Amino acid sequence: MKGRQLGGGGLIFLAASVIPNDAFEELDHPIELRANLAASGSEVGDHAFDIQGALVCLFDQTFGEVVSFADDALPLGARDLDGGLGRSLCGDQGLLECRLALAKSGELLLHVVNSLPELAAFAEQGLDDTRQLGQILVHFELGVAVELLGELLAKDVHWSELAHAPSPFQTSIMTRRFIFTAFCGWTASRRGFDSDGILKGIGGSFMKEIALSVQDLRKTFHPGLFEASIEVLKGLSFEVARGEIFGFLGPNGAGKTTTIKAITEIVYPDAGDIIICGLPHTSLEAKRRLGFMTESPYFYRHLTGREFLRFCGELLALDRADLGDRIARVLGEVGMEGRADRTMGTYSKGMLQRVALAQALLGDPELLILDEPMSGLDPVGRRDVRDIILARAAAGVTIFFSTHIIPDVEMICDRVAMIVDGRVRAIGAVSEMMSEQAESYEATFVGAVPSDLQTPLEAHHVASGASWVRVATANRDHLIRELGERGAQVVSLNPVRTTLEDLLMRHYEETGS
Amino acid sequence: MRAMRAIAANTFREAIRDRILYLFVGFAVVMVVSSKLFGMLTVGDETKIMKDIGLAAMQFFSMLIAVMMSMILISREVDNRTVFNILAKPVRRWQFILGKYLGLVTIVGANLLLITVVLMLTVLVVTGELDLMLCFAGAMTMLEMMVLAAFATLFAVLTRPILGSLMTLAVFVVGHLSADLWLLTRQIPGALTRAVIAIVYYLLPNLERFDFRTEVVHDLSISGAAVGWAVVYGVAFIVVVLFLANLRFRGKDLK
Repeated sequence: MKGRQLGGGGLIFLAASVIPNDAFEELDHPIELRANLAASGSEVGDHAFDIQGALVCLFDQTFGEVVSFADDALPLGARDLDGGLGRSLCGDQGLLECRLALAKSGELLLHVVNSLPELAAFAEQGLDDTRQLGQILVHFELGVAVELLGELLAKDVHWSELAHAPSPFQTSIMTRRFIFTAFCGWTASRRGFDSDGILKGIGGSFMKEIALSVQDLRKTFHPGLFEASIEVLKGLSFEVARGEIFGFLGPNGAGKTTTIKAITEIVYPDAGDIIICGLPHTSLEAKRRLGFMTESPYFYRHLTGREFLRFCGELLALDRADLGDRIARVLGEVGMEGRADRTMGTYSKGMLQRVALAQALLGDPELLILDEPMSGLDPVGRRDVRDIILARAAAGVTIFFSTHIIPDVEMICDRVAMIVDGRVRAIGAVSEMMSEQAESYEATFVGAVPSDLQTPLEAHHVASGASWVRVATANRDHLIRELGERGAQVVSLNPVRTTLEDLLMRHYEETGS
Repeated sequence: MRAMRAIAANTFREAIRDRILYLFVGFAVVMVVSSKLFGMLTVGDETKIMKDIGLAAMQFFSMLIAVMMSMILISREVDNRTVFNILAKPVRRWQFILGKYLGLVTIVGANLLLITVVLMLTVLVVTGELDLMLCFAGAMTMLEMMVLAAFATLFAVLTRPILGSLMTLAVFVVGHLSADLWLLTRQIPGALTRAVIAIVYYLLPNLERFDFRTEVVHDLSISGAAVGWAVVYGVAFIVVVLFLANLRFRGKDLK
């Protein structure tokens, strides 16, 4: 049951919290993985798997697919030591020490982590001596964990800057998949393996799988003979990867709706390329994979919600035999099942929005394009729409939605493009965009007084025995070191980030819009 | 085809749930039924006058329905942006145009059928005879309306609803006067003027070709060749005009 000998040893951190309860039961793979998750305090149950030498398979329902390492592509072994096998191997030796020893001896250890303290304890003790160690970390609280590992690992670990997500919601499928793949490739390349083959083997091609690509899009409207032309899109480019929630943020008149109209072939761009799921956006196949919800939807007053969805089903050429069931399902999903037989002329705006969402979901699209899906909705409606978006995203659907409501983006988006004056001014992960702009850090600690510190402080405050200080980013490490030397206990250390709104306003002002 | 059928069916359903349609149909039925009164008040063969007025009412109200509905049904799709929802689905623009056109033609056809039946029943009640030639007149009116609906569709994608309605109305009026235009080309001096009028004559349909009212009312013989040419002429116009409508709509930005 020993894994193949690898040059520097290896570690895979796999957080149990992302493993669905029944996922392992569905595995039909030559793998043995003993994961006594229940013993680690998790509620996910006790499952046993086979690990056979050089094959690792991970399944995660949020990945939406089995991610596997082909036997010849990835010479990695895996072993979990939380289960009985691990205990028998380690004997009286402490689990932690046993794991470290195996990792350093050149085996790959599959370590199921159920808590951050456990992860931290292992990482703190192990990583200094195992610089060749491969790390794969998949965890709902990825931002926190990566930040932790990022501190511990060498500075050249580029992915340590990937996420600083403060909440599980911002640790999206895309981010997890990206990190998963990046880690695999990084690990393999460090050991001289064929990282391309490995990436291919684990489905790393998703990084190249672009659900929506817009390149150098240009559009000028010519309102009339005596009116000046309006250049709305000025070479707009961006890409949306499969499975991510992509926010398209910009002020009114920035070109968001025109871009969406160009994608959906409602307006014709003067120049540029649009590719949907690898297909030209004008192809019917591309449109079959697309679900679209227009801004401020207005539908046929004379039709009932159900009739309208049937009409949409006909347009999508869906199978008539199960169209009724499909309609009932999406109506239930948007909370309209009880009002579906009223004519839409009697619907409120919120109800129209829900029906609009239902028709967009009807064809089970791979790419969902939503134009201002939450505008005009009450708080309940906004929450419902948000939940639907998150649920679809969890099922692997790519979500592209435009909005000018920044909290919506911060709450659910993996990445965001800021569009101002017909151009993309900034693009990236929400957390990245904010953290990149961090200009200072705030620390709370006990056991030291701010006025005694040598580190230059921007601001400070003392209350109830705890001290709060703000320092420039450049002085962060100095502060931490000084607090350590003074024996102070750091309660928290948080970057002060520029918000998306600040960024958007900055771009907005720069363009003179 | 399925998308086109769905659009046509939806257009038909939208129209039959619109009150304005029933207003027109109601007027038409009242007009046809009351043609008996006009017959009584007019000197001449009461039955012929009744048929004449009935057929004229059939044509006039069918024209109104075709013009109004085409403008409402196509422009409303664009103005209300319901067309966005359709075009973002796997539907070609020409399918949308043809679907709307077929829906419109179905509406006009259904109304024509209703008016024809009412006229035949009225004649049956008054004279005791079942005049099947009224069906023929109805069919030819239908062909005329199909040509007109094609123009209405073209104007709906070319311009604003009111202007489009006026232009369609103009086609109807000029179409019934085009025989006179042809005569005009022979009498007006000046080659250029004659050429311009000739171009107008050939560009616009001669709707009189579909008008067999006189023959039906007065029981005159109808030439099969005239009917055949009328059908060919009508179909040719429909194809060309819908092609132009599609051409215009294909590259049109919808706002």
